[in-house]
Amino acid sequence: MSSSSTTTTTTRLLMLKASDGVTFEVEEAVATKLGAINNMVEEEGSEDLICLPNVNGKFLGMVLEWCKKHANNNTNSDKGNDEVNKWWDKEFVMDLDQNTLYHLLMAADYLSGTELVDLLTEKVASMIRGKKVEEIRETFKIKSDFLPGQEEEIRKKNSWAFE
Amino acid sequence: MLERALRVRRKKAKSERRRSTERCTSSSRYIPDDLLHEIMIRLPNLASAVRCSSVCKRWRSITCRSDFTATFMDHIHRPEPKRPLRLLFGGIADEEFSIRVVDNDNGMMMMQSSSPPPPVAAASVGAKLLLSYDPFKDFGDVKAWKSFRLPHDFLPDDSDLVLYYIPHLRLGLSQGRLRLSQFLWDDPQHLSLKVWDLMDNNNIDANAEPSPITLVHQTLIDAAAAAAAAASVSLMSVSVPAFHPIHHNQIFMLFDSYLYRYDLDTKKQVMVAEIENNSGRWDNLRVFPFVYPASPTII
Repeated sequence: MSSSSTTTTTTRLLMLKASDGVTFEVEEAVATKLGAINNMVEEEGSEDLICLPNVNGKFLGMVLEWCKKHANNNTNSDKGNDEVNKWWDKEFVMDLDQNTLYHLLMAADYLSGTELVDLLTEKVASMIRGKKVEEIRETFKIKSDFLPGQEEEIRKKNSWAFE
Repeated sequence: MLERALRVRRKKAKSERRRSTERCTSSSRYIPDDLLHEIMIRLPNLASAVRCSSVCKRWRSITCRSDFTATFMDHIHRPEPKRPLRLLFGGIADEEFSIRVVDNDNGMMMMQSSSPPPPVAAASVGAKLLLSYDPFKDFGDVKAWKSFRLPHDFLPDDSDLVLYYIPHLRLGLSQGRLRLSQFLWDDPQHLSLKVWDLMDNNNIDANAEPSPITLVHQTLIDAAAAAAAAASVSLMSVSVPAFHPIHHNQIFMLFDSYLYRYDLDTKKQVMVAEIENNSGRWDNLRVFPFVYPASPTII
């Protein structure tokens, strides 16, 4: 918070290097939407190249795409920005397959992109919502590993939730 | 410094992932437990979370984490316009037991006849201890029962306990916390209302000093103003039937047969419904602090 680097230089460019060597050149204002990057910039104000060995290029690209959209929308002071962001977020998560969704979620979490983590966890929760246990297992390809009788016991105790 | 910070995060992420892969064989196995927890607290209701707890052992372990209910409550506070808050009242009127459901939004009253409501905390007050039972646990489970020491000033004197008329004490839940209210006449014009919350949901020690039950609201209610709304007010006809499950500063109060939603901060009351019956009075009104949407217990 004491550093002035984030407030004075709005057009500064950062290089973000993914685990597979793919690099992205992004404006500081965009990259600092991510808490992890923001911390690094504040701590290490002089470094322009940031290596992110835990995220591959595909997912880092997607995370940055989201950051860019939100950073741009937030600079306009239009009233409808929240609506625009919401609409765009909906589009962003709509057609993601599960594998991409999970990896994107982990990338967002690793980079401390709190709002993006919110969006993606909401999306996964919406895939659970209103489903029966069997349907949840099918959706997430999970096999029950309960001992015989264990599951019945849980259901019996909480029968109101299984109506 | 930067490298070190990254290494620490990387290490953490790695260990989390390893832990996850051991237990689950699905594509969701990549998600660390902490993120799966974040997902489950975003479910729209407790029923969904309970269903998740029977999907597999790993999911069950997440819903059984000690911090699950508290974080779940934080998220469920977001309003759900499609599901209005409902209060369930039951009592003996005209020598018959009947149940009324009050819809908080439009004050409409409906009869509830079919499926039983989801369980809520049951508790009772003894001389110095508050005893509670978690209905989500097995009845015989020792962990399902908890007792808490009441604050020193809760009752002025032990011997006064017998003078307490049951409706003047109310137990219920607000924001998933166990809540207790106490009604007293301060003077002929004023009712004194105290509301207590069980603040620390973890690390509860029955003999802890000070008591984990903390006074959160103390307010004087002008009986004259209340009486203007209800025909007449006497101590026996005033009670707190329920706490608002979400709004911390709102309670439901019953003046005779009129139910009000009362704001403890602004001291404003809004009539919600009239708990009527054929003879115009309840001989033995037992009000269940059941609320919809169902709030999970943390006790």
